[in-house]
Amino acid sequence: MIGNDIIDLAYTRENTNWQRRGFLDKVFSESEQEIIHQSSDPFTSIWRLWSMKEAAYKCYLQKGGLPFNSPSRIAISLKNNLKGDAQIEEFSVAIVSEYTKRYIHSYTHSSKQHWQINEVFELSQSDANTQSAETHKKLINRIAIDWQKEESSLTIKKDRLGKPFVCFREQKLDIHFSMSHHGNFGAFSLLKPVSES
Amino acid sequence: MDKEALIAELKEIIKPYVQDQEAFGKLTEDTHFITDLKINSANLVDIVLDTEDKYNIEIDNDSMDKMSDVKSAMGVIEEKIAAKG
Repeated sequence: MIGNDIIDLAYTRENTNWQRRGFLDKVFSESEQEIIHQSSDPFTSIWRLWSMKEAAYKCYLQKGGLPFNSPSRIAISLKNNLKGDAQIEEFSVAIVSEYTKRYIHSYTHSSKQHWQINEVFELSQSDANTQSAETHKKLINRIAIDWQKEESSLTIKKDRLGKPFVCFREQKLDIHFSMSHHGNFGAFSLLKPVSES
Repeated sequence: MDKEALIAELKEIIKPYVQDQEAFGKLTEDTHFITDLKINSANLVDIVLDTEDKYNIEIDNDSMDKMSDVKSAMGVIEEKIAAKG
């Protein structure tokens, strides 16, 4: 099981006003707000914590957790500049965040039996449907290379809950992955069993 | 408040955050904010805050969790307005 989340920092600066009244209270617990207020760069801290919550939530859904909207249900604690933990009720997972000046990419890190592949790429357009298609294509391209399958026979489908899965010639493959796109960036995380490589 | 008026008001609230205009054009009570309108989760928080401001109500976590589609959002608004008395 795996979850990831990408934040385009320029895009989020334009489109989300975290300073509006009530925003921090809806999203973050008191201890998380403490981290933000003590940070020398509150903006980056906010979106790092946010992306950690999103990555954890996606992993939680893959484990069969029930959907919810309220980000404050996900509790984050930080270990250092890169690592932290997320907790949703009984579910807990370690999260890694990579950041540059332009984006933050957070992903769950949960298995020793797998190689984890994390990729970030720029997208050409900002229309949500086009971006989603571009992100799918990047993921399929990577699976084609790493699993040595013909790219044109790989497709991404969705089950009735909207959860995506990969098919090779209409047959579902047991590959765990998570995709995300935001602003001008797309990203995926992918697990590959060690024995297969 | 009658249903048509409430849908119209709700459409005004969510409009700035919609990423799929085609789905927005075909909006019904069953339209889902994330899967149909492709609204991102940060903007979902904005929608909750805008709704609180517009109706002068407070939407707690449990109610926020219910606000996944047009119908359930209307339910939450109606319930909170009624609770104000």
